[in-house]
Amino acid sequence: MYWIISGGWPQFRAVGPKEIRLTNDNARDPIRGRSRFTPHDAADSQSDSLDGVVQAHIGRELRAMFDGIAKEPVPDRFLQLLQKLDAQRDTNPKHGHKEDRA
Amino acid sequence: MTEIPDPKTEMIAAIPRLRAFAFSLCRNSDRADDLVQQTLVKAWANMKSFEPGSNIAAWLYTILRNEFYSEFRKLRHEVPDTDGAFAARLASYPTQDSHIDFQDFRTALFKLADDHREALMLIGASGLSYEEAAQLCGCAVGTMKSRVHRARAKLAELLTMGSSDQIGPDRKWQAAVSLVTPAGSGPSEG
Repeated sequence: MYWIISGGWPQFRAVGPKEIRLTNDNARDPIRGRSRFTPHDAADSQSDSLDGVVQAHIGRELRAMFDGIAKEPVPDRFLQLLQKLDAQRDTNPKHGHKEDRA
Repeated sequence: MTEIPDPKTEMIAAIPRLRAFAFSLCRNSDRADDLVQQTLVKAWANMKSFEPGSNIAAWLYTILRNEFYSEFRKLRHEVPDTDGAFAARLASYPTQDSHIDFQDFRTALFKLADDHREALMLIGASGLSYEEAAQLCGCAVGTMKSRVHRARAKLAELLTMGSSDQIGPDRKWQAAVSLVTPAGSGPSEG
């Protein structure tokens, strides 16, 4: 499922400049432009912190995804594969490594 | 006398993180595990090129990455993303942001360019330093920092963009953001 990336600007444009001090930079930037969530006079610092909040979410989601997989038990197929490779090494020292490291 | 670690034991210990890294490259869990298997076989065959005592996980990462870019990616468009079950399994892992649909995040993540997504995963999730990640990817540290920065910016844009009548994560992220934005305090994460 995909959503439309270029599907128009967020609704912050509906908010007038009296409520939020929109700079040109804010107007171009959909992330910073989200200052309508925190309609204070200090729009710039608020939008900076909003960006930070989104980034904090991204960080947590990334780690949750990575850790979610990394915490799973090692599938049997890999254990069996390495056992097989290890057995081959024992029976065929040509491909072995223990001797090389002694 | 120092005992030489058994390569099999060390490889097994590295597999969980290899799988996570592979998934971030492949998107599909079956393909990710195939990539891990290919990596292990290749690593085993080239064990002589591994320096005992150095970081075997980093060495395996490098092999996995090379395998992905040299072989796996060619097949990328032939394999549909039919990984709903895996995504659901992942989604069951509790996160602090349980009100955000994990699927939305994952979809946005895989819209990023491969090298940007990789940089983001290596730095933001796997715990590698910029220096280690740059070495792994064969690029300058500054390039790695730039990739992470751009990946984060693009991901934030994807996750917060869209109008309310569109299907997408917009409203959920809006809600999440409005819930967690404390008045007058800044973010805790750099």
